[in-house]
Amino acid sequence: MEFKETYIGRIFYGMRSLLIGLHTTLKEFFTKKVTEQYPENRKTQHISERHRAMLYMPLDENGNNKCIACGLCANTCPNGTIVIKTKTVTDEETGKSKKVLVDYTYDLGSCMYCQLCVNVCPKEAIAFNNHFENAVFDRSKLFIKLNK
Amino acid sequence: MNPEFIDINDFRARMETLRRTGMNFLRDIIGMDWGEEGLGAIYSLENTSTGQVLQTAVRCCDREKPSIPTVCDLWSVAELYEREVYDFFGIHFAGHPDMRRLYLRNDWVGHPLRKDYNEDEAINPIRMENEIPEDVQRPYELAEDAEMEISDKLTNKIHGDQYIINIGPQHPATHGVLRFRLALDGEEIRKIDIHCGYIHRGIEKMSEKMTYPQILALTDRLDYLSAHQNRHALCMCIEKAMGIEITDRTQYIRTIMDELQRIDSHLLFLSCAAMDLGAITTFIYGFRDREKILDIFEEVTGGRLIQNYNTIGGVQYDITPDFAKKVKEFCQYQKGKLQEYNDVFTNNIITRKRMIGVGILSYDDAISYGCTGGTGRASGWACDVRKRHPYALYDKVDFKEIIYKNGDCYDRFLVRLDEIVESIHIIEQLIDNIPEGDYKVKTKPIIRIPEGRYSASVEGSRGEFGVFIESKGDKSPYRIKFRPMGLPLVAAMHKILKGAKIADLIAIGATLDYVIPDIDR
Amino acid sequence: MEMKKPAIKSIPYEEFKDNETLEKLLNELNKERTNVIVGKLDDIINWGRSNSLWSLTFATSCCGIEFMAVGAARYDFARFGFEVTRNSPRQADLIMVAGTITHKMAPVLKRLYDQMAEPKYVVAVGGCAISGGPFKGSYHVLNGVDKILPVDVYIPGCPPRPEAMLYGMMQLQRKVKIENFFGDKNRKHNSNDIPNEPIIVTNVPITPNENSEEQ
Repeated sequence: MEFKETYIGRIFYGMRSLLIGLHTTLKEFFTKKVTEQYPENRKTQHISERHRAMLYMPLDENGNNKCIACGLCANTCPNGTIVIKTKTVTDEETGKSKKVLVDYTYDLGSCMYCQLCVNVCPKEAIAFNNHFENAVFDRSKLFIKLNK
Repeated sequence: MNPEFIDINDFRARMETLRRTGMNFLRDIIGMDWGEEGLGAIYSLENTSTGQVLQTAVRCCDREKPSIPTVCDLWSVAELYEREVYDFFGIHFAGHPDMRRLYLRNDWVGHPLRKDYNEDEAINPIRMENEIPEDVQRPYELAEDAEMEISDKLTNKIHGDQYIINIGPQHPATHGVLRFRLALDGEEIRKIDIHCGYIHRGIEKMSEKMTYPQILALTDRLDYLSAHQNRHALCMCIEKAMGIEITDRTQYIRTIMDELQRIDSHLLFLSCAAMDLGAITTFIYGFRDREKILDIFEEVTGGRLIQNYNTIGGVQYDITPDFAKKVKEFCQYQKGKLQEYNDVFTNNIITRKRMIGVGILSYDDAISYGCTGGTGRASGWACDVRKRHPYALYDKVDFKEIIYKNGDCYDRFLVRLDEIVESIHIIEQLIDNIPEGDYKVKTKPIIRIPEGRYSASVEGSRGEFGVFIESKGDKSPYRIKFRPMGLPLVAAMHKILKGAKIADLIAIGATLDYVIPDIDR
Repeated sequence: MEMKKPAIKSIPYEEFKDNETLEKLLNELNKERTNVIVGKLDDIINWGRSNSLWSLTFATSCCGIEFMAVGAARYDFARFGFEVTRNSPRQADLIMVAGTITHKMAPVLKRLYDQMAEPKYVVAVGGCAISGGPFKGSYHVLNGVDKILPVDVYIPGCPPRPEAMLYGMMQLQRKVKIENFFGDKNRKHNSNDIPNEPIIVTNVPITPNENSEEQ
């Protein structure tokens, strides 16, 4: 019968497959490493622009946010991550009353990054940034107030 | 789609006729609660030789003790599907050998997916004691005058001197939280009992109160390694129901992303299968190559695992200008690395001894259990949805469907390695020809689907993933059902494991390639 | 005595988030300590402990894949001393709860935590473990693992990037470095009010064994 099927043949081919594997790993030993040295490369690492790590309110040139307190983001959020407190103020000159934002609380611990709030905002007042270093010891620190 | 409603007295005869005339693939059993008209189920059947698709439905009006005759002797996968319908709706299937709950604890009160389910936390608090295992089941039989009768046959009893061990739910080799109770005789396995539901999150019940864009955000997390394909299925179903036409550019982007996701999932399969057998080097190599795909995903979609990319009417962002260049570089790189996996793992004598001839699933069993995906193709069944019912651009590209004949672990492994090559081939045909245009079309702000029943399927990384929506015209669905890719695979384990040893259980579980959140939803 | 500041290589103390909780903990642990020799010995032992925390393999859903990616070649957690993941809870120092915890899984998790030997730590990874995450409204999901276990570090994200998980592990290392190892007070200040009682099983069924009748 063929050499491959004899007893000695099977041992030979088996050892050969193990040695081919060892040869591959030895070659890999001399190639460049792919490890990213995380805390040391904080200044030079590249994180994608579109990565979603935290919600924030971008400010315009005067340092104000663009939120008009319509509440659409809080209604669209699937699990109640955004809680808005508003109050109604009456403008003295024109007599019209409008809603004004008092407090915008965002729960980082339950956000699912689905972008429904960002998509529905009519004034583009909220957006995601890629600051991912957010681990804390205390659960209450994860409720962030977005409007400064 | 309109199912054919059968009267409950003729149901059993009609199903037997359908099975005899060639409808041998039971895709899904969808339990329904139609309110005043009663409880019931919709059965989705297919003929694998001719491709004919049929839905039948049955309804029983008694809400106190609903009962439907079983079909688990005609299609073997119906054993687990009917247990799931019992768990969620309370419908007893007369003649079923093992009528227990599948996902919830056996001391859970109520049936969650009924419309009159009481969600009060006091009824079902967090119970911190063990559930008492039921080793004795009593089957229900349908008597002549259609009253239910409990017979006292003790089935599924574990024999007195068999040794029972428990594997999981926390275990490095179960790919998630799945629990097996094995009855052993020495080292050979005599009987296996599978307990799922440790990651059952109730997505179908939650979806009945959410709007369609919110449900879309949840489907990413069902089988997170087919995230693009899952969302593609739901978007296709909603777009078909509302009559929205998407642009060609979107079709190209969706198809390329699906194929990249498939390569990602198969690389992870390779890594985890190797790690279960002890070859940790291959785990590291597979993950190193997978990171290249994740970089491409992160640049375009913003996420590594949960991408949130397909939306109703298009995609969330347009592709970046250097997307084509990066994908082509990746394809060149990956083609060079495939030989490395063969050298280190596939041709190795230890791998061959552990996987060849182990865990054979025959062609007839694969169809009867409905095992689609790589597992079915390794047993000789040509079950790829991309060829049987083409969608997106799959009828315009040229690719082979990989079929192997033996149905053992080694074939299941090789099927997926070859599918990586085919996916790279599909991407290379599409990547240079992406047409210009919009990446999404404008839709109404509030999405309402017209009344009716709709379904769509795609080829996920592990099998056929299907979506079924029944809508009454509101912004939330009346009933939504996802066909799990992994539940038929887990159902077939009982047949595959006859006479196998415990070490074979690990190799079989690794190559069947299930993901538990997809089974449990 | 001046405040001890736990130092991590490459990130200055001021750039870490949530230093206030650490300082509060330090004040409470240091109320009576004056001995210099025990203090120095504590520092050496805590340095050894914080650089060699081995975690349990526990991953239920999507965050588990990112946990495996942290262990793989590109973001290697073996560089921090978290060399291997132990499979048995008796040999593990830390449990990283990655993934959703359901009502069916909650007693299993509590039993695993009780089987671990002191000193042990819990890190809640991802939105699902912190608060139920995307599945808050479900009938079968536990809204946050801090309902049944005392959690030390919370890492938000869905799923968190591997670098975010490494940042969370560095926060845990800072917490380990300020603890008291010697002394007869409580070694670890448990800031949650969860009474940490183990589960006592009372509902074991007594069924007659068939073989015993023959004997």
